Amino acid sequence: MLLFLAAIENEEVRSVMEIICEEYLEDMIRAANSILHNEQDALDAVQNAFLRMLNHADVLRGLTDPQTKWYVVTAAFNAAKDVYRIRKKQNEILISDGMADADQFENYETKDQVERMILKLSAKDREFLILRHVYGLKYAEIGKMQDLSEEAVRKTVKRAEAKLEEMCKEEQL
Amino acid sequence: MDEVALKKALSSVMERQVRRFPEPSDEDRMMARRLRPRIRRMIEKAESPVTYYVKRIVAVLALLLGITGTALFVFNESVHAGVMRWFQDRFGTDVYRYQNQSGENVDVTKYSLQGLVPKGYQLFDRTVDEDGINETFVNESGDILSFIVMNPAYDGEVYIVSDSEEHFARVGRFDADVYVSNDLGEGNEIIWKDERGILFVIQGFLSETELIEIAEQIE
Repeated sequence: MLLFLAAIENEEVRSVMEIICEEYLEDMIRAANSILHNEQDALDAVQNAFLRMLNHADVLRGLTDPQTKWYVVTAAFNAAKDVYRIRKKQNEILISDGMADADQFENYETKDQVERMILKLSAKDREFLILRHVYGLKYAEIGKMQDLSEEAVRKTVKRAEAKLEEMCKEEQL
Repeated sequence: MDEVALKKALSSVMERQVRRFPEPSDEDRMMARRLRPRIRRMIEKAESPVTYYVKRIVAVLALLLGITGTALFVFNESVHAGVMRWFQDRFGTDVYRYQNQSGENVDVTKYSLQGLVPKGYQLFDRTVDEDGINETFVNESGDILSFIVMNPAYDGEVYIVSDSEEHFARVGRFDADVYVSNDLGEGNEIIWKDERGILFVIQGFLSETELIEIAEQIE
C-alpha cells in the first residue's frame, strides 16, 4: 500500500510513466503472457511490474526507445517469473513450462563470440550488467530498482564481470 | 575485456533481444486496453495521493447527493412542487397552463365583469365558446382590461404577464396568483380557481389591490 503513496517527483517523470503505459503496455503483456499463459496472472504480473517502476521512476528518464523497451519488457518478464514461481509452489497446474518459453526470447544464435559468452550468463547477471554498463546506472540506483542493497548489487555485478572474464579467457578471446 | 568492448557487446545483446521480441497479438492489445485505465489510476494516485482520494470522495458524495435529491424530487410532493416552480420562474415560457381538474362541464357563460370594471372602461368585445368566455374592455386612454373564465371540462393555456413578479394572494377563500409587471407597457394580472375548478383571469392596467377588489366581487 505504501508503494501507492510514493510520490512521483515531477511532471517529467509522470510523463515517462504515461508514455510507458501508452507505448509499451502491450509489449509488457506479451512478455508476461509468454510465461504465464493466463490472462489474470499476466495482468497481475504487469501491474506488479508497473508498481515497481513507479518506485524508481526517476531513473527511467532520458532513456532511448530500445533501452526503455528492453527495460519494461525485462521488468514484465521478471514480474511474470515471480508469479510463475508462486503458482508452481502452490502446485497449481500450469499450461506450459513458462520459463522455457521465456528463454527463447532471451537467447539467440550469434557468431559474435563475446555476445555468446554474455548469453551464457544467467538472465539476472545479464540484466545487472546491462543496467550498469549500457544504462550507466549507479549501484544504488540498480539496488533501488531491484529492491536490493547497494552492496548486494555491487557484488552481483562484480561476480558477473568475473564470470564473463573467465569464460572469455577459456575461449581465448 | 575493456569497458568499451563490454558496453558494445552488452548493447548489441540488448538491441538484438528487443528486435527479436515478437509483436503483441490482438489478445495482448485487448488485455492492454483493459489494463490501461487501472495503470493510469495508479500513476495518478502515486503522483498525488491526496488529490486522488479527495476526488473520489467528492465523486461519491456528489453521487449520493444526486440519488437523494432525485428520490426527494420523485417522492416528496412539496420538494417536487418547489423545484417545478423554480424551473418555471427561471426558464418558464410565460404560459399558465390550465389543466382540467374535475372534468365537470360547467356553464360559465353567466360570468361577466360588466358593472364591476373601473369607471371609464367600456365593453369592447365578448366571445363565448365551449372553453369559456373572454371579455375585453377599453377606456378612453386605450388601456385594455381583459376578463377570461375557463370551463374546467377543457384544458387550456393562459399567457401570463412576462417580466413580472409573482405574488400570492387570496380572492375570498381561494388562493390566487398575482403577476405585477416590471414593464410599464404591460398591465398586471390575477389568476385563481374556484372550488369547481373554474379558472378566472383579470388582466389590465390596475394595481394588485384593485385587481383583488374586482375579483372578490365576482359571484
